[in-house]
Amino acid sequence: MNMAERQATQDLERNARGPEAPRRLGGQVELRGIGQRYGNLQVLEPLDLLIESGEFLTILGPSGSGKTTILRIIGGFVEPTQGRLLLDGEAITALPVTKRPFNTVFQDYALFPHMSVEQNVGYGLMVRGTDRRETTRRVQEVLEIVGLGNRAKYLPRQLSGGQKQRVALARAIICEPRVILLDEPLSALDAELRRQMQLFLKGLQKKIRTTFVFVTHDQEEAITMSDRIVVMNKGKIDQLGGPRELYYRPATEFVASFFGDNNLLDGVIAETRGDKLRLETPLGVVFSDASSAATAGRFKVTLRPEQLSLETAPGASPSDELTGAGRGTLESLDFVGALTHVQIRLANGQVLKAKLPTPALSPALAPGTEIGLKWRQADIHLVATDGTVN
Amino acid sequence: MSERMIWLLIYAVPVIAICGPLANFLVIGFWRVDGSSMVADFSLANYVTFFTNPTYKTVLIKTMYLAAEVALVSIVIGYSIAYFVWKCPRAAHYPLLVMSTIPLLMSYIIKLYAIRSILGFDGFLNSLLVAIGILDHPSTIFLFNQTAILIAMSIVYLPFAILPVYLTLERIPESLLHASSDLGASAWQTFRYVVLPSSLPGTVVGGMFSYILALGDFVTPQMVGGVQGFTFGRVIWSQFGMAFDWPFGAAMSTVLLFLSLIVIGIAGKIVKKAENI
Repeated sequence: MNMAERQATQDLERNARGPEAPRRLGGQVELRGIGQRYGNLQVLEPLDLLIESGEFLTILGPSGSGKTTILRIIGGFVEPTQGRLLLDGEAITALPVTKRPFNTVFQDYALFPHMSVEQNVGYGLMVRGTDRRETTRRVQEVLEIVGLGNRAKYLPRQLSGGQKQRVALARAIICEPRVILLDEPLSALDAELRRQMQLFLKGLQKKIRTTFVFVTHDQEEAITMSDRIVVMNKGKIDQLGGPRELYYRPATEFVASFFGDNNLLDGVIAETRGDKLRLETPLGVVFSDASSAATAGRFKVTLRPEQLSLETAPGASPSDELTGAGRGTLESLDFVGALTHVQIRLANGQVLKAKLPTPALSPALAPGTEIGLKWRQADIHLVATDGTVN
Repeated sequence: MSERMIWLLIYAVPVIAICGPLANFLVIGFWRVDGSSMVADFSLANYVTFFTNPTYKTVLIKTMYLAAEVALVSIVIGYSIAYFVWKCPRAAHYPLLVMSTIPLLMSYIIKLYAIRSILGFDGFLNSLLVAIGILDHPSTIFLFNQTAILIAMSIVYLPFAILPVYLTLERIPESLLHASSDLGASAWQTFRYVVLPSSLPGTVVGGMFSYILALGDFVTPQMVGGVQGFTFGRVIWSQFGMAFDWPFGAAMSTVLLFLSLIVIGIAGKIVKKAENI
């Protein structure tokens, strides 16, 4: 990215923040028992989902999880084989694409190559027969918002990837849709530009107060931008919640491993004390609240890499209900800057990941060293297994 | 033989086979005829005759006009067919395209006989029109005139219009069509503002094919045009046949060649402009 482009992106971040506009009414989308089947293949199990007015909802999942199908059904490009779709309480299942007050930002931007930036952005108004002067005014206004006020006469092929992205966005917001659908719009951008666009999108959404439904396979993108995240797996919703909830309280093994780094351990319930469980794991004895995952029988014990700490002297004190203690052999240390990624081999051969602040690590640590492990029992979390590990 | 020599041969043979006869014609155009033999000297007499005799110019202009009509008719019908194929389910595209281009595999003469038997006095078209009561008795207006040439050429050159149009339609990303309807455009608006401009290059190329082929065609006018169907192609042909004035025929062929090159040049400009924007 060159200097000019960086400057432009910084400018548009400032533009996007601005004062918050009053919340536009409407934009609540409800999926009731929506399912999709192609021949014998059920790509989307019947599901219910309520997208609140004005929220930034991300549909996250690996390819083939059904996330794009949901977006296409909401947009009206695909007719669901079952279920009903409601917008602000009214059924819109049979409403054609052209009549839905939604606009889409496509993965490949889908800019009309023979039209200038101005004509692309004004297309939605033009086909509605909006007055020419009004169109010009609003196009300029929207182009200012996305920081492309001086690119009106350019053709799409004369723009960089990030600029095309912003034109696509401008084209989607100009008709003031009740919902904006975004189909992996950032996947073609490089990492730096992508981070800036994430902040810009979030800022823009706050400013115009329109419901955003964003589809991605990138969990970091989902955490950065979303009010709520729907995690899709094999055509089903695995979990719906805020970024923190999904990160610290994943419901399933899939969510626990897909959403950031995690350590998953087999556990056996040794004792039930009221609503507390004592479990034996390859890491050592852990305590956890009794959860539905545990009562169902098939579960895994999870502990985030950053929640594990190292002790140079192994086995000083046994596990208790507050602090867990275990031991292992240092496998490798990878310095990545502020953090060091550590791999520890347990007695049963399983390798755990830990992420530790570099300054807190003793320089004496080297691969092969016997070390002690510590964690807070409150950080232990049980998840339901569904037989898949990603 | 070195590898270089082999490559040279591979390129040289077609270059010589195409450029040789063309160069020959350019040269012969400056010769003259003495009795029944050609005399190799240099004179502009053939070109002077062509440009000063209004008969030739009139025939040329009428032929250009006819070719333009042929191009228009075959591009309108060809575009419609290509568009229909494109709108069909994907699996049907290839069979439909093969079907619409099968006439290319048939002999040109056989096609013309078929068209003649359809357009003739007791042909299919007349029988049909009489049967459904549009005509009282068979008509002769369909054969042996300019209209017959127009109809026959439009049919014969149709595949040349269908293929390039289909190829450009095929290249339009589906997301552009989705984006258009997503922004509220009706089916007609999507066609008018997205599909048509995007398929302009193929449309121009298809039209150009028909135009150039029609411009030089001398068999179709002869077979379905009758005495009224006198085109520039036939004039040239008659110089090589009945009149036995090869130099004059070569000079007129040269004029036709340059005319075709100009048309190709203009079409190329339009295509380039359409693809750049």
